[in-house]
Amino acid sequence: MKEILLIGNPNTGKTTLFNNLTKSNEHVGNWHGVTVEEKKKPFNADGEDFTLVDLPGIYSLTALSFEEQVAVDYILNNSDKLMINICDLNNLQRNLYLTLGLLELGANVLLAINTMGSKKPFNEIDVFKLKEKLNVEVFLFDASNKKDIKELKILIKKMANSKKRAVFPKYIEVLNEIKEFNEIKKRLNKVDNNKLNFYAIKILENDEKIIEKLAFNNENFKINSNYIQKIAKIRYDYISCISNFAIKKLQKKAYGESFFDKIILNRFLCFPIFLGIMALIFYLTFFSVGAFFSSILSNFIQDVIGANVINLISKICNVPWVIGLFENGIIAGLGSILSFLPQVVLLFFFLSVLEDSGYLARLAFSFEDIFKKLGLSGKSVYTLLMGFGCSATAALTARNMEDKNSKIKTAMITPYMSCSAKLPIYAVLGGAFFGASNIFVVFFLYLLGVVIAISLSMILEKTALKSKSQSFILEFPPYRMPSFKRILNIISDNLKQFIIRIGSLLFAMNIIVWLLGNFGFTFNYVPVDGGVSILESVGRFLAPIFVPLGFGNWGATSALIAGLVAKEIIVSSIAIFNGINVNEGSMTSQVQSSILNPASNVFFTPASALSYMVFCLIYMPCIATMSVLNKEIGSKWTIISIVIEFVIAYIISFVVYNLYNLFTTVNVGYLFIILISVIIISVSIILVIKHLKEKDKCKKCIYNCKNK
Amino acid sequence: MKCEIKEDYTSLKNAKLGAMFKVVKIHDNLGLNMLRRLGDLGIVEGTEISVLKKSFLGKTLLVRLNGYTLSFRDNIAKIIEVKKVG
Repeated sequence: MKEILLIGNPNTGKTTLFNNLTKSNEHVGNWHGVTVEEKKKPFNADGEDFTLVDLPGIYSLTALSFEEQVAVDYILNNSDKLMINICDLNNLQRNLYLTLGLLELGANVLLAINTMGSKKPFNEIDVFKLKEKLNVEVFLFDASNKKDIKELKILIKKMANSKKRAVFPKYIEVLNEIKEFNEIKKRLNKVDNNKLNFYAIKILENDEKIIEKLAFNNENFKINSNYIQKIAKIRYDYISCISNFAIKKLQKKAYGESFFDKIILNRFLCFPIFLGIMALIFYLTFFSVGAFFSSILSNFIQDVIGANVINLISKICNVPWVIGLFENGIIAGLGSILSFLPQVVLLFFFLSVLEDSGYLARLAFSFEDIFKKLGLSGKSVYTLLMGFGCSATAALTARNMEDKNSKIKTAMITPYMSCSAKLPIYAVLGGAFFGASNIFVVFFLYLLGVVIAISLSMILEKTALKSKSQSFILEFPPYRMPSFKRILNIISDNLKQFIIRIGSLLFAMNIIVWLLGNFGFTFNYVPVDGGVSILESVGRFLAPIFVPLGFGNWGATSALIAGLVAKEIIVSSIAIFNGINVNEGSMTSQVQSSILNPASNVFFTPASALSYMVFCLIYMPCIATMSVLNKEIGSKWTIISIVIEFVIAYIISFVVYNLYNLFTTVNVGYLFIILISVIIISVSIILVIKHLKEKDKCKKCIYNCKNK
Repeated sequence: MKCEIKEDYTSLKNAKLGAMFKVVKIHDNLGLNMLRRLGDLGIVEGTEISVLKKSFLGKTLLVRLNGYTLSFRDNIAKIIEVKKVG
């Protein structure tokens, strides 16, 4: 099958078109670099099958960040294939810069100009004049218009089978007058004639990768670095020449400029606005709307589905372990996760709306100053916010970073953003012990995650991972309201993903946890003939480690181990170990009351519940995240971050557990003294460290040994 | 006689908010890759550019050029030499 490449600047709707053409559901958003690797899918254009390749956004054929390198390499290795160059109509001049690069390459280019569905576009173009000037096929389209997509497919088929190749743009005349350009061409005698100009211009631009690839002979020949800017200027002059002829500007305002920015980018209001938005999102997810739907779903699963299924099964075959499997393994296990489906979907929905709105670029702008000091980039905001949804997919977006050390740091701290899979833990445990004031507990946990992430990044910046030249450059997309269709799309997409996850991985995991938790080494069914289950013996072996943290029972320990596969399993394991009765009260409250009871397999006190939640927040992420980290930042840093996570989790849980106990048992005056002594000790430690680090400490020292 | 020094050239870092400037030269202090990226984005000699907003500590700039908006840090603004227009 012939491959067709989708190429364009970041955030021009490549993936939206990809989804439309291949009927798929890849992640899109109003931000740069949502797509970080190439994606291939088959699609049918007017009766012929093709493979469509979606590439990360680039500005030119010289890559600066990791995800751009993916795209540029792919283009240079597949220069004979049809390239659909998607341009944003509203920012056409800048977008045409990349087009010129593709024309220089002599590729088979289809210039597809996206109107972005805007009612008031910033530019108006004359398609025929543009076609004539650039000498390529030009197609103006709206990605949501079915007729346009159909016409585009016909055009794709026609062009994929044509032999036509782009000619080098007119400014070749200007280039030919440059002495060095001709000299380079002379030296490039081995290169194919039709690519000669392209490679010559890249070498004139000092592109190290190309120079290396062609093994360019640069003996007695130095290229002035001024040519980088000169060539850019030649191209932009050509673009402005074309735009005078074929493009009409319709708006005075610049693209991405908005009235709202006066308030949102205000240097004092920007942070309160952000905190307000996040607080609202978490309130709606955890407590009002989300909690309401969750309790309805939880009752439905148990009363309607669970009770009927169990009654049916006990009539057909009254074998204890079969009933146990269904009641505890499947209904309690899956039900305890499924109950939180509305909340998880709601959280993802809000994150998607934030991503679509264009607000994230403003956030990156506001946070850049502070994040720079912490050794991150404003762009890390995107990765970190996505971390509230899913750590694994978020860690992948750290590729946006230009600098390798910032990338490693951003990926390393992403797991501390409490992901959506940990949400049921806080809801069940926090709800059981803290009731209505759980809102503060949840707030504390999320904040704790953020604080640890920031501190860790700061420490890494000061020690092993100092960021090199940071080049924060970010385009401002316009604000966009998600359409009703898009909202439905987001919700249905997340629902589908979550249900698939429950039906496959989580289902299998629950069965395994149930099996190991209910059968002993001799395959005896523990609830009937007593004895110790496999997980219980493992749990009991490891539990002493967690005694100082307050949750040294085997169930809590085993749940943590099972949680390494997926964090949702922690709550479902607790439900499985403690067991439920489908014919009694709501499932979540059954689980909650069971963990209050010291006779259960998994039980907590308020202090140990808090420490358990803190531990779950911080300890190693799930396997999926670990493997993404391994792929993105290498095994060394993955192992280091796993160790750090475990150590921090252990220390902070220990502190939280003991502080909580202290607060509830000891009087205030005593606490006050402890607090003051802690402050005094830490201040003196800081002073000593500061003194040691000071450069001219010799001057202050009375011994004057250095000068002797 | 009072001597009046008219400062024609300045770096974008010190540019006044809202005023229109023209790029005169891009310095290569931040390496060739930065020259490339600014070129890709249309910041070349002769481009008209104006600063719309500065961030919390004034270290990040929001600028307007070629009909679109872009934000970057003052380390980049420092290498862009501009001249006031009008």
